[in-house]
Amino acid sequence: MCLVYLIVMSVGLRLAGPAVLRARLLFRLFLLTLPLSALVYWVTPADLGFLPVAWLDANPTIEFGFLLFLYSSAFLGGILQLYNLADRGFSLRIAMDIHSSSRGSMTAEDVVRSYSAGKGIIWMYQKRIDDLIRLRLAEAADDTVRATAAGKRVAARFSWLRRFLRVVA
Amino acid sequence: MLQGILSGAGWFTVFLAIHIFWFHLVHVQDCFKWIAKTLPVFVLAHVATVTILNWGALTGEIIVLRVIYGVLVMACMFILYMPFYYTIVASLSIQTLIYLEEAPRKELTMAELHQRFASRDIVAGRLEIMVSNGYLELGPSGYRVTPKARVMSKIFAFLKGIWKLGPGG
Repeated sequence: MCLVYLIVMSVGLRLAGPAVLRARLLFRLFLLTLPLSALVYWVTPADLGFLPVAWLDANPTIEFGFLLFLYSSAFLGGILQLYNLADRGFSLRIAMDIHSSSRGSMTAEDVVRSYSAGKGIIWMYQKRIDDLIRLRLAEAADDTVRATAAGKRVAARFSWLRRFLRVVA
Repeated sequence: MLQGILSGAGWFTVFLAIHIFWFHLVHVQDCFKWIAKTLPVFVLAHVATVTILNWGALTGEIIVLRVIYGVLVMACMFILYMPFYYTIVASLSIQTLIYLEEAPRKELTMAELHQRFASRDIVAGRLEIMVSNGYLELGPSGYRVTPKARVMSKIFAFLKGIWKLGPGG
């Protein structure tokens, strides 16, 4: 199912226009493949034609639940994170910029100026702010940014978690 | 099957509880290293649990199968938990919301946000982290990618090409 999803996802991303919210598209595609995984489970024989009987579980509900858990975990913790890293990874982008630079090396100033194939670090941060505004977690007016009510709730929860886990700012 | 699943889930929950409370009590410098070193202990505890519970009652083949079910559950819970943990620790968007809420006026100008999150210092800090993680090395003309980062850059450049993601970052 993961392989099928990766193929469907690759086609979806290639066809998606620039205005499409990619993570949302990937999640919707995942939801669409859930009935397909159920169908595959119910139409194939329990032993797949080669598994020993002793390996099978007597309860198909547990088996199917385990399948959904594995598939959902592979999507949420694996495939979606792989996409996220490829599209938004900060360190990865720096490594790729340095790797493809003409000198083969960059200073911190070079990275600030030419992060993401020349767009610069301000562009990277503006993208984060735009996402917060689009998700209605923050709002901007007259060059000033503030958190919305939903953003304040998120900030409060994560601030508590960071304090509890002693994350250094 | 259920026994392996419950044992794996149970031991991962114990790992999670100890990890959270240890991080709460002690400031851990290299969090991922701590997690990577500790988790195998709990995987072994799961293996021991399933083996002891079934010793003499089931064949070795079935015991191994139950162990694998549990290890799969632990692996899934791990890949689901780690992105959440890194969101708490490293997300710029989350840190921005917290910073906005901690500001005296509960709002900040873009220049103030850039100073905090898109400055040369932030980039320099990230470059140092990448050096300590073995992705970059500092030479006379600046930072260069290590062979490990070169391989990763090539893999992700390939994925970005397939998915038509653009430079991103």
